[in-house]
Amino acid sequence: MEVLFDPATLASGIKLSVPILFAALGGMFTHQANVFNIALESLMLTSAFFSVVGSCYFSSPWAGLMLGIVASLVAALVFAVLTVDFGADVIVVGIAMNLGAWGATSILLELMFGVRGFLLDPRIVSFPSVEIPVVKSVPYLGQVVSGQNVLVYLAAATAVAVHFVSYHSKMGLRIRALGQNPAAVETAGLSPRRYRYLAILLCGLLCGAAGTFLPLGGLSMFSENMSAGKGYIALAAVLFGNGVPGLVIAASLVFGYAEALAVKMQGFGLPNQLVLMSPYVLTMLFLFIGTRRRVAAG
Amino acid sequence: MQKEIRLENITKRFPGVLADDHVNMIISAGTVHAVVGENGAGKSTLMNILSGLYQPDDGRILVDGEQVRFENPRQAMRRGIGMVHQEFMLVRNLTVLDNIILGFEPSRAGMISRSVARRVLKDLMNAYKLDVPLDETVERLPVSMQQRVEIVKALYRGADVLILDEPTSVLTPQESRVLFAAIRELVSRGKTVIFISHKLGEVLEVADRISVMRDGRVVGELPASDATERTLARLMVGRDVLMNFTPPGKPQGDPVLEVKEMTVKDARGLEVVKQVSFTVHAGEVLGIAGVAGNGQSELVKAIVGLVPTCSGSIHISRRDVTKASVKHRRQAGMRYIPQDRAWVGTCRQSALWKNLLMGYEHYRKFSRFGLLRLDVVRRFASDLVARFGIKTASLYVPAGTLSGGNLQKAIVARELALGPRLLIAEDPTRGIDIGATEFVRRQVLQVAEGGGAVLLVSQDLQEVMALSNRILVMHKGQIVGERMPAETTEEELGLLMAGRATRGTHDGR
Amino acid sequence: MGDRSVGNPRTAKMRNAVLTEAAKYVVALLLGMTIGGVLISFKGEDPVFAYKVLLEGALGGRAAIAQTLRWATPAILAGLATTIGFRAGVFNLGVEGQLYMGAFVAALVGYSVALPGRAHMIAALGAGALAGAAYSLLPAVLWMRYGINEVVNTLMLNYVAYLLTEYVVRVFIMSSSGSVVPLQIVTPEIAESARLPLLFPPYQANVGLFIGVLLAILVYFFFQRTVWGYELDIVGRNPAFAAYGGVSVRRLGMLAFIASGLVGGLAGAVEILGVHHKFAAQFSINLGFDGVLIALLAKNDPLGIIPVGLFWGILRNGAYSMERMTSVSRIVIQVVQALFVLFLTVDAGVIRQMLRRRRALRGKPVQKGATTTHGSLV
Repeated sequence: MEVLFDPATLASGIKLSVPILFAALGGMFTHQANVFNIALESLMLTSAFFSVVGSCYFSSPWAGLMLGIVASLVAALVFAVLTVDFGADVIVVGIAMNLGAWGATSILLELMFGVRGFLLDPRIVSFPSVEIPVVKSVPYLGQVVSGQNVLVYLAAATAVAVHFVSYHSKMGLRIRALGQNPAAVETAGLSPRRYRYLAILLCGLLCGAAGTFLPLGGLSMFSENMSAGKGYIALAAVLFGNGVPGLVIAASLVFGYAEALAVKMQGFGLPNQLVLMSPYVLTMLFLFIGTRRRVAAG
Repeated sequence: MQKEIRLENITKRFPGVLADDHVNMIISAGTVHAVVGENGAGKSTLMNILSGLYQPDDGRILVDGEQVRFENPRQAMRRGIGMVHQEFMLVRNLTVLDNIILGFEPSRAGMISRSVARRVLKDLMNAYKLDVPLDETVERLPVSMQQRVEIVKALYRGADVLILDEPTSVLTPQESRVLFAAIRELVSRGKTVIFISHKLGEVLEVADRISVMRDGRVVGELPASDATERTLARLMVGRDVLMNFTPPGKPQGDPVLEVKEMTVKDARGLEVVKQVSFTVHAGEVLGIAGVAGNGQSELVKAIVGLVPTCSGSIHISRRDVTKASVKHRRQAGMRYIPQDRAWVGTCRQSALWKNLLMGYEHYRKFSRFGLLRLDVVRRFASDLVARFGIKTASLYVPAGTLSGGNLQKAIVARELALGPRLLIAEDPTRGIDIGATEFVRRQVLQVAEGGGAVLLVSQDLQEVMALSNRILVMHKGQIVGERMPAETTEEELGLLMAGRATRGTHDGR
Repeated sequence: MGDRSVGNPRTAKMRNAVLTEAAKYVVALLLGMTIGGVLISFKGEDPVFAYKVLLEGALGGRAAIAQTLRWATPAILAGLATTIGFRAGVFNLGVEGQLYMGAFVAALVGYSVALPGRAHMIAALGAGALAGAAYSLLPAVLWMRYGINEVVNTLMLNYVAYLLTEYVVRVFIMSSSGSVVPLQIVTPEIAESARLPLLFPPYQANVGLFIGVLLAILVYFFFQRTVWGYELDIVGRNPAFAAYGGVSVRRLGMLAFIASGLVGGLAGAVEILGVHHKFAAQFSINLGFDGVLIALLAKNDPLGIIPVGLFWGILRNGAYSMERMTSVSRIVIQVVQALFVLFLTVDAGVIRQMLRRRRALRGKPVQKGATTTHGSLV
């Protein structure tokens, strides 16, 4: 039982929740705009690859983040054009993009680095971990919160920012209105298309950060299909939260914590496959609870 | 800030329809100008053009003598023209405040200043004596309050000319009176109001000037003081109106539909239909009147079998169908003309013949051993098209390509095809043209004349009064009164609809 | 689609529409191949040569064609599984997982049970199909009974299926001391009696192809001529109307979901009994997801699945031969396939409209339709 509240477990849970959190916050915007977005997966994977490229070529994780975000935005733009302007089915476009991103990043990996499968390269620079001056020395809390990767703190800041954008900015209000009643937005003289685009691009931006964390959050490596369903898990967090930032954040943290716990359990002899399976099973469980709760509340 | 609007030769075509045909209209500043006409006469299209939602194919708009062109509603708003749509353009989960400021948020660096908005709105509400609860979410407000929110929204956006599209269709006569007072208040402060309606009485009550439209054209324009209901009706319909159907006498056939102490809860667990009991007999049309949202639609859904009942019972022809599926109820002879014909009553992407078959596919006539007998189905469908005069290119085109009136005819054709024992008709003539309306009403009456029972639920009080043998009034999920159409008035029904009991009590049968 | 059963009259207009449609497919494929070609040339290979190798590898000779048919078989079955769901409005993205369960159970029956002759094969096929159906039961019930989004659940179950089968094989079949490399985590070989007959021995093409084609025709017939097919079609397009008409939407939706899983499981069983002859962990990635792309290319028409599936076989088989003969990775073809689908969703009509609008903005007033709304699936 100790392991449940072990500061190391909590710390690693926070860390593991970061990519899910970023992607889920992005997915929240598309959800609010009533766009069912399973392309989160491809946006993350695209960004993961290009942030490795950026990190390698410019020897800076920040360059990696920038390039990753740009790549993810481009992919988001493709999704937006096809689904918003051409009215293509969001699920078909999502699946095709996910398969396409998987293929394209694998090929580019081969073309640019001459390797297949995965890339371990000393040139890949991850984001550093940082200690927080005062918090560091607080017992327990310091062990959990301090000494995390820079991106972890960036994620926390982003979560707060997303809440503000969603509830206190013009854009946030308009995106939420759009998802619930496009006609209300249109008769207010606003372009639904524009805000649908904005929501998808915001999602691209945040999935860019999510993708960057995968290789540059400490691992310093890239492997084929590195996102491995994290985008789908993020989508589950989005559906659980149903457009409410606080709930989306909570769900992401729980997913990260569960993954950390499972990894810890591995140390107690739990078979590898069952450990790897747990986030997916947990996601289903969570979605079940979330939907039930919503039905009960009306 | 007074504005005069001139519409010159406005023309608008939709695929297959000439919605507005060289329409001319002058709306003087500081007046209430009513535009009347039957459904489909082109009123709403004209107003959507004036408010910038549609662009005209031809013609021009002048505001205070200056020609303007509106590419979108925002440009119209900038010239002081605002519209309150028939279907409210509100976001249900947002607060009233957020709804009002949407698109015109006072802000600093992209962040909304709600305190500024609140101050501006307080002043506005005081000035026009229109109070709305700013912090309530819209879905918690009654319909009449939502309408007021829409009006405040238009004023906040700087409307000097306020277009109200069928504003009273969701109100009781008493609530309408409150609205008229508000309109008078607005006009006294220099605003111009364009009032769209097809209810002649209220038009005469509120308007200064009246334009009458028919088939996309203005067929008359006159001061309200010179008009009578009769003259207006003749202009609107193009001939003397003979909409006085005589409902079948006073039959007391066998009970066909018996509803006993039925309670229905909505998704949130609130009782939306409370302990309702009534009986519809063979050969009878029972009308249910009420303001939208007082439980009628849930009542109908429960009788049809689309939502479960919480308690009580439903019998069709003495068979207990309280727990039965829609299919079994249909087999017991029930048919249903739903309010939402585009989404519930038809499948727009599917071929017309598939739409006409729905509900009958299991009949031995149409299928054997699970296989459709396509030749029989085709004969059945083309027979219905001919018998009910449905205008369509073929049986194979998607139902969505039919016009509103023809789509409704197709639904009526299907539901009446094999002689229903019980017909439930929900707003059967809403939004269709006068010709189709007469047709549908006649068909409904024929069901009763042929010995069937009809439950008519309509928001159109005149329709209920014209077709029913008996009228029940619903308010807040309960039946608050029963009247005979010959012995009551719209006034009295309106009071009942508003929840104010008049004489007598309801006996529940 | 779907409405030609009552003798739709063919007109010149329709012929035109068919030609335009065909042109769209050709253009989309060419665009996808062009981008693929650019990737190939970056690798320092001649794209034209690479595509030639692909075509020869897929269609040049008996062996090549047999192998193409081998790959067309799972494509047809997976595409069909997806289509059955889509037609009924069920977004079963878990065909991949159902395929794994079907494959695993078919292998289990194939090596552990002894049955005489064809009975063994049929039992193994049936068990695989049932395993797929059973695996779709959970998301189906969660969706139909509790209204929980089926897309996320089926996606999650794909991963669970990979790992669960791997776990069971490693721990219970190989004993846990076995290998940790997925492809070396295998069941014993299935018995001869459980194997599907080959079409052209010794090549891998097998009677699974006939099963797929026959099933496609059957499903087509089902949607065109049967009462349930008629009802399912309506359920898929407008569940509210179906419920109104007395169709039991939940029950039929469940049926379609489970039928979709059944065919997915069958696809896995056919792979094992026809080709691999044993179950290996993570033996095939993406056959299930290919089903989504195939369903779109076939426009959810069960008959259309057959040619699209054959085409998929050409690409898949050709890609392997391209990989052998050149330095180009076969995953290029996965990109070409994805691009093909993405380009196909681009609607030329909309582009024309947009150009017209842009032109109009400079000149005459613009027409606009009523409020636009965008569909969603949540």
